[in-house]
Amino acid sequence: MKTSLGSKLFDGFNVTFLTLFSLFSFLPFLYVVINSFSTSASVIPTSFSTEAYRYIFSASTFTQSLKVSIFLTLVGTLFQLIMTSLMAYSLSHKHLPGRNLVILMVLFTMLFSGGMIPTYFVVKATGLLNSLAALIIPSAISAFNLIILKNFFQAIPEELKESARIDGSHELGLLFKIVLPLSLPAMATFALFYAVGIWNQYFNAILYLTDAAKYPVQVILRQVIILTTGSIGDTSEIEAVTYYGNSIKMAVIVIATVPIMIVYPFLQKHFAKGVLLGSVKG
Amino acid sequence: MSETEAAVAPLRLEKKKPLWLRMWKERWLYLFMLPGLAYFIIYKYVPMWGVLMAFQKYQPHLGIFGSEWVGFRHFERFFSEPEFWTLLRNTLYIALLDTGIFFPLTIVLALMLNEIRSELFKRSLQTLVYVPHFLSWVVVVGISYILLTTEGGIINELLALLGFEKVQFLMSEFWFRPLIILQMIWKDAGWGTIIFLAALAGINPSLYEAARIDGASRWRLLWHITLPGIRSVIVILLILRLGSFIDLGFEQIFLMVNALNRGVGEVFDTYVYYVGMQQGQFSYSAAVGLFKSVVGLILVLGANWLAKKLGEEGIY
Amino acid sequence: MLKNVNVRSKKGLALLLAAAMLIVGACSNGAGTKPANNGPTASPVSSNANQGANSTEGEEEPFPISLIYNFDGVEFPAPNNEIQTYIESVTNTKLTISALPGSAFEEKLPVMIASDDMPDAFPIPRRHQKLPYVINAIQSGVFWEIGPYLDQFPNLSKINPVIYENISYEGKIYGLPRERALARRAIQYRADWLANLNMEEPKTIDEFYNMLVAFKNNDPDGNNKHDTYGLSAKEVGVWFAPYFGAPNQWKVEDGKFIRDVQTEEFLNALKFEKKLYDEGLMNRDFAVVDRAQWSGAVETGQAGVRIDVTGSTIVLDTAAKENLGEEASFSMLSILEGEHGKRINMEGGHNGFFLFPKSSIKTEEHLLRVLKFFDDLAGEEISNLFQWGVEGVNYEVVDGKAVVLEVNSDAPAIEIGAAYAAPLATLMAATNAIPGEQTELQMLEVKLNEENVQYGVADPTMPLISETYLEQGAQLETILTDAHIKFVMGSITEEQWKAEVNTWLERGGAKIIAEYEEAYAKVNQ
Repeated sequence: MKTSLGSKLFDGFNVTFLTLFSLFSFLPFLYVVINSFSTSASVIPTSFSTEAYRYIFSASTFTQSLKVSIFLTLVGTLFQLIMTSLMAYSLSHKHLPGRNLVILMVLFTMLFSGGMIPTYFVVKATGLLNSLAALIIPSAISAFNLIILKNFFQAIPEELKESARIDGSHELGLLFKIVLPLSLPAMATFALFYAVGIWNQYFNAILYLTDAAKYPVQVILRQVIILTTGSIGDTSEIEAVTYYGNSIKMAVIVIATVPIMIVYPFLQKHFAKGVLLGSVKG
Repeated sequence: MSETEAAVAPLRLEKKKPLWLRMWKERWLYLFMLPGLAYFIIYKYVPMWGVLMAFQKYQPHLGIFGSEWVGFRHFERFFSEPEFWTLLRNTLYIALLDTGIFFPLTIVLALMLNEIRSELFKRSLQTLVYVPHFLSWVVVVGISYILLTTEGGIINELLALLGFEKVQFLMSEFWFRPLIILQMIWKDAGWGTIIFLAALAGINPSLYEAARIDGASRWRLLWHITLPGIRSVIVILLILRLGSFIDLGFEQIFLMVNALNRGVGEVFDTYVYYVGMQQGQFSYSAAVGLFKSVVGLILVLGANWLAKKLGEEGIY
Repeated sequence: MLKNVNVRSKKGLALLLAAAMLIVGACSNGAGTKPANNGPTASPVSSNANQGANSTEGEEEPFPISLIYNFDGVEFPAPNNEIQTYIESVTNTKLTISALPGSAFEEKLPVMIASDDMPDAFPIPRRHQKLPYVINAIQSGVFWEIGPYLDQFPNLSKINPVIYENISYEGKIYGLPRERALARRAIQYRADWLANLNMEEPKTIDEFYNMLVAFKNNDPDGNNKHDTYGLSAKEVGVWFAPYFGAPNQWKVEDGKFIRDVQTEEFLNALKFEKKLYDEGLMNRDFAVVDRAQWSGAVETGQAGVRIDVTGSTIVLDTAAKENLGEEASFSMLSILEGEHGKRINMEGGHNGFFLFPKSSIKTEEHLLRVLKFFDDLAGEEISNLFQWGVEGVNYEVVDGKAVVLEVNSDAPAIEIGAAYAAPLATLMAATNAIPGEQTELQMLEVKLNEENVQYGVADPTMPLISETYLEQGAQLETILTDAHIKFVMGSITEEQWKAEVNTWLERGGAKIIAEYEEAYAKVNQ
């Protein structure tokens, strides 16, 4: 009985705390949403208007960039996820000769980087300048994601793989039939990480692209924010218009974040699936 | 136990075979690795010559071959800056708060979310707490200003209403660090739980069932099954975090620092922005960057070594 | 003026685009000094037929020119749009333009120079004028020296020689400046409040102070609430210094350089700001306020005064009217007279300048042709486009004067201002454009920009280089600006402030002084 009471108390506290915390997390975003529908510059909105959204969607640059970003995120996430899981899978074999060397090499790139100018030269030499591939290929694998995914793969019980090998399964089959299905929660997580990474990409876009029709949505978002907050290099050149500027800024934030935010609820169900599979096979 | 034996057994057998034979046997694994390896070599190692800039007076129009070599001049300047020790202290302080408060908090939050029984409720909470991650620091700092300014800020108005004196939250050395860490928690703690939630989902449910049949309490389940289940992820995340221990990200702090809190607020990253980037001093920025990288490398390798000593898996 | 060029906006939201286009001062100065000839040109949209007639010279083929420049708008110009076609036909060129996001342009410049991916011409932002990568590239001959050729180009030589001097390197001119008003600081105040209080526009510092006091205490908005204050401030130490007689950053006396903070006059100005702060005549959070809140305070009728530039008063006025109703109105002044007479700080007079790389422009003929393109842009036809927009769409000519038309929402979706006028015009468009009808504030802006120049105080270090400043300038400036803020807020005393100035001297200020003196002596030999 005692544990049950403590357990209930804990549940009560837990639910209360998390509810408060999530409200606390969400309210500022709500503030952004509300302000995107308001024309007044005050904290508490006084009027309702969809003018900001109509303005943004009438700008062809913005809708075009939204399309580019969605396309890039879909294709890029798939590509990066495949590259990462292939390499992570081979590195998850502890007996593989040369494995530690490769891991060290990967780790090293997390800490040391040649910087912007040399990387630009390589992107140029590999013919990616002004192509959308420049936003995917030069960041194909995140060393961080790779190392953690490798650890997730390592945690899969060896006997599962062993029994599949005895059944005559090929390494590729092993990866796709056993390892990946068992790692669904991890795969969903890294899909999310990659998708968010590509979606939020800004600097590479302006560095490698010159054709405005190829700009992803973050470039336009930055442009709007900087114009409306006047934080551009030469501030006196451009006068900020806070009055309407504010609602447009807020609307751009909403439009540029909502598409990527809704990815998570869709991926969440895979978290549960992994458990299910685990219980069947385990 | 059987797991480890299975992993160790083939290893011992194969030690006897010649290296090339062992490698040939794993040719498929090497093939899988090849695209990734090529990627790292082409896009990460080929540009690595940029590190040499730290020892040059790099001029873009001259390139790395034409620029003048200056040896350790930039490092000497950096270490002899009057602010160096202040910068180091401020950076370490915030880095410790980050690793000591923010990081454990993401674990606790993940565990708390994991204890929610209603699946729908849990998912809704998760979705809500990760939303702030998508707002940029400019927006977060802007919201902080609206809450905290003395000129009509919500919290200060509330204080005044309750008869307290207004507090200069934004221009005080005392409040700077608490604000920074609170902003970090607010923005990214929810996001940080995701990877732990993935690890929690991977724990074999039959372990829980077996323990429950044995009459284990919730606390015992947490202590003996849940935590061990995500321990390796915690350890590896911690090690990797140490690699960027003194990388605080410049944007948040840059936006929060002002004349009255600079004494505790200026860190390596904001310093490099002022002195290196804004002034177009590529070589100096590269030198400070290299210093940070070396510190990161030492911390990662040290932590990995320690983890292995303590019987953890570590990174490799 | 320029903001009317915006072709796609609807009422109200025009303001955002206006933001992108408001080139402070571009629609100003020389409006009165323009030539009498204003034969209206054909509408660009229908001008394809008389392309040949428009081309200013007998060249057969359109000359190809590549340009990269900063774009500070939202709607990126599409290739081969009507505006660009018109510019090409008038200048007889074929343009290849990369309009890069202004937010990123600065960061891309060094990469562009390093990889030698340079077009025929690109602008260096004002802030980068003295960055080592620019200076070193110029000194090692990466770019053409254009000074000797300028007198061949009537429009380019109309740009104030002071501005060319400001961007010269060791006395030589490499850059083609994008001209702006030289002295455009403005104190923007609520004219209707002043009228409510039966007060006159302040002429002196004391009168200005009285205005702030009245704005705080005498209920200028007549709502019987004590809910207003005087000045919405964002930074300290720069605004009032000239009125108290302090130098513009630096002054030279007998070849000796003196920094503003070393003068008693500067300290007096700082003490004045401290007084405003202590008496609650300005916002107490000036050190952390962001731009939106800073403007918001005046737009929503909390504060009555803001200090910015002459060109932004119109925007402020419009925003305040939207917020508070038609009776809210702003006016401005530039100079408060003190015991040192009328003074105002001058700036560089440009918003960056174009450079011409030798790697893409191989011959002198090529360079002359590219310079001619910029000279043609400053001619009447393109000046009209930059100043007024598309004839028949944005304006029509009545009695030789441009009359702005109500914006037609079906017009081509191009931002002429942000995409072409702001980044490309070198001589101010107003100089050669036909005159037009102007609002009161626009006329005031032109008047102030013109008047101010005669009282302008120059910064003598503008064309000089100090190695120490290049290396540690930002750090050293922070010592000073922090000290100003702390002094005004009362967290340090006058003695401590002076000690900070000494720290500045010791940490590198003294070296900077010596280096400027040396460079100055070299140029003035």
